[in-house]
Amino acid sequence: MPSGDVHPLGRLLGGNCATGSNLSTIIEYLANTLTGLISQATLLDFGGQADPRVSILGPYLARGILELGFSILLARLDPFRVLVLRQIQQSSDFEIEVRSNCALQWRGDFLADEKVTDPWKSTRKSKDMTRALLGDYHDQVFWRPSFVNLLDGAPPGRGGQWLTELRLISPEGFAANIRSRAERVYTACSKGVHHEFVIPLSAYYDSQQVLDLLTDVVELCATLGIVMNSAIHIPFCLKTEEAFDYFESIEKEIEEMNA
Amino acid sequence: MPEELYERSLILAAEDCDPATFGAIHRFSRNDARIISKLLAHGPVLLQGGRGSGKSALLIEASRRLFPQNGNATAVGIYLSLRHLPLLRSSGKDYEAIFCRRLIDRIQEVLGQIGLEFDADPGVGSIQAAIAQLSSRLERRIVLMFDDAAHIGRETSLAEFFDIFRTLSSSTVSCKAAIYPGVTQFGTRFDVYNDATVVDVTRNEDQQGFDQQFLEVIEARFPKIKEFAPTATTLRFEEIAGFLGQSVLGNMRAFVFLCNAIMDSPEQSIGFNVLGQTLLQLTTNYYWPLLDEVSPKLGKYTPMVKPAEHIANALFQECGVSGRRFALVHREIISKLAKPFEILEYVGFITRRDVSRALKSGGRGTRYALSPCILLERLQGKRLTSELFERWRHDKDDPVEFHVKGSKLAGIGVPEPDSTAELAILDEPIEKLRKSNAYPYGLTDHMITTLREAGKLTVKDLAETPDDQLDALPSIGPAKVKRIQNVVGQAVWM
Repeated sequence: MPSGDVHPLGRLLGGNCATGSNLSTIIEYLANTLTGLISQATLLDFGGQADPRVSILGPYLARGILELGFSILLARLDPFRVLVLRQIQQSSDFEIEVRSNCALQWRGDFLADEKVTDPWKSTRKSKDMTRALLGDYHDQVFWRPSFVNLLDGAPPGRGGQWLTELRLISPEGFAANIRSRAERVYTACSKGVHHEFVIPLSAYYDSQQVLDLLTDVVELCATLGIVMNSAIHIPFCLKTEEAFDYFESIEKEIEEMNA
Repeated sequence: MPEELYERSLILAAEDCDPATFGAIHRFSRNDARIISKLLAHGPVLLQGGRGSGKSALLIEASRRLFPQNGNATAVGIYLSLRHLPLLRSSGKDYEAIFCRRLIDRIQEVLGQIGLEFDADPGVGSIQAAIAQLSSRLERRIVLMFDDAAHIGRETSLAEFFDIFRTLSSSTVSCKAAIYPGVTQFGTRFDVYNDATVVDVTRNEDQQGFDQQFLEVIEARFPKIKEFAPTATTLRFEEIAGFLGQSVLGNMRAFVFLCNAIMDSPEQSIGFNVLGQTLLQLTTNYYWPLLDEVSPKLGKYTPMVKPAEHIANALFQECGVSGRRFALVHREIISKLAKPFEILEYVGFITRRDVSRALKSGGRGTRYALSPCILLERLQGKRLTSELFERWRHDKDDPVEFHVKGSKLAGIGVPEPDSTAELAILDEPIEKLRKSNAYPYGLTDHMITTLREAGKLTVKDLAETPDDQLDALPSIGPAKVKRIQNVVGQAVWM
């Protein structure tokens, strides 16, 4: 697929991944799927009259965007995880009707199973070190320095309101902030995906609420994307100006959806 | 000036505004629209901002867009101001009982407008159940908006408030509350980062639509200013409006004061001279007196006002030498002087733009924008020139750095909070509320005499007097009762 067809969020998250490697193939596939979900979300009618697709499809699309966005980020941060997964899914042993224990999990791959209270204890075994995208280790060794790089390297006047608000967060609090927002929005979407409600769905997933969920997931992904592009050792990073072009165009699109 | 416009120019707090005129005098930017969307959606939100930043206006506007004010809305909006003296003076079960009673009354009032009934026992559990039932009956989710939830000088009841906030929230009921940036006591059951989305109410000149929003406020509330001819032909009115908004660091309350000062200007024109004189006037009549006005409502933090004043003097003196609008303060200083800095933010002397920015001299710190009004006072010559106007409007000056060693801030000490101190404002005589720069909507001499004769000697006496008792006093009618309520509200809560 030509890169021009990928949504700016996919471009920002995936970076310059058109290298033909297995990793870039995975990322391109995920970015294309993400593009498909965003396209479907933009077809929902959030204005005035109730569109039944909003309450039925909205939570699914929002959660899908969040999961795909985080998967792309994880692929760049920890290629091992998705490359292994790819091999497993391609093996003859892989059966689609059998639960896969190695699939990417919200709890474990994106958010850690539990908080690590003493991450630098010298007796800790490597299997006890969570590699979750927003876990305590990546918080300290990756997100904090990358966030500082973003704050220091952002060109004057770029980044819009989203960056203005990010500037009010400390590097130490960045990952925790994103983690709690991600957890809340994921849970809110999941109730609609699993049809947990025994009360009318439209009372909870009305247009305003679904629009807010979509806004949140896109903003969260875009925020992590712009920070990841400010990292030093991550593959496929975009040039600063290009990353900000995508970031701002995503923000503008979301603003127009909310207008 | 027509009476209606005069009244508009005096309204300082959104919650004091007549609902019939609210829409006519309030304007919202694109960024405000984003915040309002968050308030309309489900999910707990804490709206955080300094005094006069527009938190109440956002909450009220959101409730206006919800049912029953908007018959098409899919959610019910209940706005409740917690400006109520007994709430401020209670804690534990007493607080809960008073809170619940007020909430029930308010829901009854809102639903009564459309002929619906609501009742519950005044306990959090029964209200929660009753509201959930209401949601089911109306097939709409419910949004509860609590204004003035956190008083800057009294934190003891906050644990109870956030407990209630959490308990009332459910899959169809969400709570929103306005808080001040210095609020840190959320109780043991409430985790501010996991149990709510914190939204900062900030306005700065880098945001899209900043100039336009202030222009629209001038058009709605001070149309006469637009008739003033610009003395410099290069000045566009939108740019003037933006400059005025920038001069008060985006604070709407201070902006209203600023516009009132321009209206009173004898020159009836707008140029660099008038703008400069008005900024200086605001510094003398509004900003510095504000520290004195705020002091008696800070409770245990009252001893922090002096260091806050020292910090302000050091920041503005140093930045005034070069006219630079930004200060970058090393984080060790911020950590030591956190509360006084919060007080300065609360009164609008400074506003935070970056929590973490690299200092050229090493380390990281917080970057603040300084009020151009106060800065002008410290500039040599104290004159706003076209060059300075352009520089403040368009240039991004490097900030003045305040390092741990050698800066004027380094030597400022912080006293311990006085944990025994109560809100001193309550014991102040009612003369404190006399019409003045601080209280433009304040009491007249005649009202003070009447109130004193009726035995209302202190602010507390006044705050505790029911409206019907005030109404029964000689020469005090419903309009004056509202005026008294407003000034007491400003004195105790704002």
